[in-house]
Amino acid sequence: MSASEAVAAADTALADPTSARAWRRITLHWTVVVAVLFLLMLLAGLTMRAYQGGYVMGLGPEWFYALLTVHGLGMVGTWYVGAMAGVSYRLARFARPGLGVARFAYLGTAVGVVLLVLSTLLGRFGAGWYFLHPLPFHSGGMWPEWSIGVFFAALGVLGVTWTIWTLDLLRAVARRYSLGGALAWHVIRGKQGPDTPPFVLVATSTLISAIAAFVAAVIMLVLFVAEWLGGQFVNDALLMKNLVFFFGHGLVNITMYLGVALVYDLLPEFSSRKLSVNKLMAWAWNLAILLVLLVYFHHLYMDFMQPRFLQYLGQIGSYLIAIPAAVISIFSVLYVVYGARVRWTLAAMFLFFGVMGWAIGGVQAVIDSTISANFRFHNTLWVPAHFHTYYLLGVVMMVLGTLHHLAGEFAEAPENARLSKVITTLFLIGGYGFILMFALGGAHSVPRRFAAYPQDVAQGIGYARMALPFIAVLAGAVLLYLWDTGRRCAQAFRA
Amino acid sequence: MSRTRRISLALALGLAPCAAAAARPDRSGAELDPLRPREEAVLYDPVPAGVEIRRADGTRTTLAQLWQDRPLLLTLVFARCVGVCPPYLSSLAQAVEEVGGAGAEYGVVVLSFDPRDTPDDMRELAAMHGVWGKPGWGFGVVEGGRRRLEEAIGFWSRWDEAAQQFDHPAMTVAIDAGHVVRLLAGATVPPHRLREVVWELRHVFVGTYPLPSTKVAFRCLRYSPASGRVRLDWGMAVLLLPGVAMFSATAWIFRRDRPDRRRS
Amino acid sequence: MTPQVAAFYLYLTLAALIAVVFLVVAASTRRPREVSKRGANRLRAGFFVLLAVILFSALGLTLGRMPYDVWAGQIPDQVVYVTGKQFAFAVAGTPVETDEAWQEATMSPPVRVPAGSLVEFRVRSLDVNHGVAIYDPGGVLLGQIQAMPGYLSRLRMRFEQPGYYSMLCLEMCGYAHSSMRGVFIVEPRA
Repeated sequence: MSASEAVAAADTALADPTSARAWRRITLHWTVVVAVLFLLMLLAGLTMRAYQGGYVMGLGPEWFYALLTVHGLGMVGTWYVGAMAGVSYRLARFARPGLGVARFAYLGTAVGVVLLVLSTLLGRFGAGWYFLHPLPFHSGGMWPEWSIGVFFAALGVLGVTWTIWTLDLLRAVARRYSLGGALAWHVIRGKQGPDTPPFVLVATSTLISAIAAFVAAVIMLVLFVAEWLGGQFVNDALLMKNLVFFFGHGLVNITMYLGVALVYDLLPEFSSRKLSVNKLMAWAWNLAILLVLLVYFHHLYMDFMQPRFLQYLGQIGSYLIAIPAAVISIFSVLYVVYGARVRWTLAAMFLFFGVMGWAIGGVQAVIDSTISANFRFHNTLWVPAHFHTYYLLGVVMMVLGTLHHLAGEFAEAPENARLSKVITTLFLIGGYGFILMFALGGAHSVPRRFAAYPQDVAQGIGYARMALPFIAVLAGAVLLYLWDTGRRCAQAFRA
Repeated sequence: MSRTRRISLALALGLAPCAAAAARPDRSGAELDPLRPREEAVLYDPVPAGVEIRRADGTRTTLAQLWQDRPLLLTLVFARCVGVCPPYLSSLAQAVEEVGGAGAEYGVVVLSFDPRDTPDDMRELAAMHGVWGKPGWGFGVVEGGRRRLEEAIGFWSRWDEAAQQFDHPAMTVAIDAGHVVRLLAGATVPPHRLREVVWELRHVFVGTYPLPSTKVAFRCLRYSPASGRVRLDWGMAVLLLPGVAMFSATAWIFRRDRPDRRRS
Repeated sequence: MTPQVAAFYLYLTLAALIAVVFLVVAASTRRPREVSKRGANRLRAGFFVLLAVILFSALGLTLGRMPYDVWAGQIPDQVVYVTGKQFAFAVAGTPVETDEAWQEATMSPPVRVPAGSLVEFRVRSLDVNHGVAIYDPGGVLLGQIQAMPGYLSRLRMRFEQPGYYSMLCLEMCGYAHSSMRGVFIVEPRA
């Protein structure tokens, strides 16, 4: 390490013991929040699937849709903050992310979640997690006016909080690296430059794309609120749909990539084989910045009023983005593990199999982003099959693995190899069984977001029922995970 | 503003600049003017083949012979009109000029429904609008089958004794293979609407069009198929903002002269 | 086999393949060995070429089969007007543009369409986004189109099988979203 590199290494948030301790504590707080939210949202999901199976009596369909809204936004939010928490802690090894901002993000998220829960579980706001305009204004008498305002307020608080958090992490990177350094342009050009870790490359690329997604959210929220308060003008439904998917797709895509950043960072630590940035990897992650913004059009294939060339762009972009993902990232992960000496901790297993989920979910994604297939699959259960694979069996595993590892590191707790294996196996069986029921539903024309299945698609009831034992297995895995991680957190808090 | 909304606003995001919005009444019902020609009423209906026409150059033909070669844009006017016909024809001529394709891809047929009009009157009318002799343009009078034609395309005319003028709608129909495939009604012919109609005639499927009575704040993506480029309507500009913000924010965060920059 | 089921089998096959690869790689850590970087790079290059060929072929094959333009340039035999509103689809032979007309149309006898004829659906919404999904008598989803407020959209289809066809709403539109429907009848050829 050169002298200047040594100086840089000392100028990180974890180099200083006090700062390191504060960072450990906030990461532990995040772990607890993520765990609690995950469990609650999982229960909401279980209730919905049971409802679809006809097992929940005495609850009107408006409650199904309120649960759907809180589950969707809750899960998307939970894994975004979980991934950001993991990424900010790991970034603290290279730079100085703002501790104050991390605390502000924690507080802001808490406030936003409370507002969201009030709006949905108290106000019965049930417009779904992408609250497609103008549905929030057409409750059919089911949700009161105030719940609309509180919902927008929740989004506003979360949006502002997360935007500031994202910008702060970029600021921290910018303090240490130039833009070209962080994005490894020197590697692309074959020149000399800083030793950019893959983690910094992936995280920087992802966080830059996140800015665009959040700005789209701001614009959309402003237009929504202006219409709600003003009453004089009506927003163009097509523009609003473009904006909500620009934001929504962007948010989930970058959540996935933040998880992938954690894999790039952490998985090699369990293996004897390491990863470094090469030309292809640098190309892939630089292209990703733009590609992420262009693929969202695949959500509007069935809106025939969308200009044709944007539909083409959606399919081509969605296909192309599979190449860097598969060829660079997934292949790199396989390379890190194949024939290497690997310490198979829970984290290593979760990170590794999380990438498998990303690959499998990607197959479904490519199929669904084919317009002629989408004509039959759009808004059927095929869609939740796809995104639950990406989430539950992808980024959720990546984040859960990371947080389990960090909690253990802070507590200096040993690994329980058998328990880890049990948790992983149950999680995979429960998870894949659960999403198989969605995929079967999509293959048999069952629509998504149906509180009850009419005669034409009665097979949906059977699939919902068959999903329940798998959810039970998954819940078992989650409870074991929470117990194990909870123990580690408690120990770490005492340390 | 109710108290709840005020509180919610206080919690909500600060307002970013918003372009002026057009005031919008309800969006669900179209203004149902019973005299306004409705495309749905005549869509895909056959147009009578044997409508007899005397061209402005004096020769005779039928409507079927005109559409045999190529699809048609057909409009009905009368030469003594001091109302909507002159500005309408100007608007049509301008729109056709802008969209292009007249002569090569489709014909434009302007017929008079007024029994008093002669071929010479129509030639003068064409000259007045600068389209006499232009490729694709044809002028004439309807000699036989006028009522059948009017019914088939959803046109009507009524003599107003006091004004000594015909009262009638301003409209153009697109005829393809002897069937009405589009109807454009309204005092002017907006080029972008005509473009959609011409695409229909070119057998490129126009999947959608905005509904007439809906005026919204930012009409979204209005693209120009003829040039293959997206015409920047406000909505499109709005969609480009996030990308622009992303580049600007990144450039600013990573600027070289950051006071706290410490690079290895 | 419907296209959906075929796609499902394709997905299962590829998913199983991926799972096998991952499990084999995980199992390989039991016997650690040296892996040459050049070998890995060559394998990756091969994988890249294979993936690119598959994806570009799929692009070429599928980009030409979009539901938007199918049957363009032909004169449809019949136009069916579909208007969505919370919570039913009005399916009629004349345009439905007001709440009253929608009310009336939802209670009228179903529209009839001859088998094999080219039908053009003209779809609109009076309130929120709805998704018009057409199901054949066997409960298979044949195709769909979004009904977006403020726009009229067109979809052309042909139906060979006679019987009752349902329209289910595939864009979440409120608490009674799953009970929203429309219906039309395809009559046998004369």
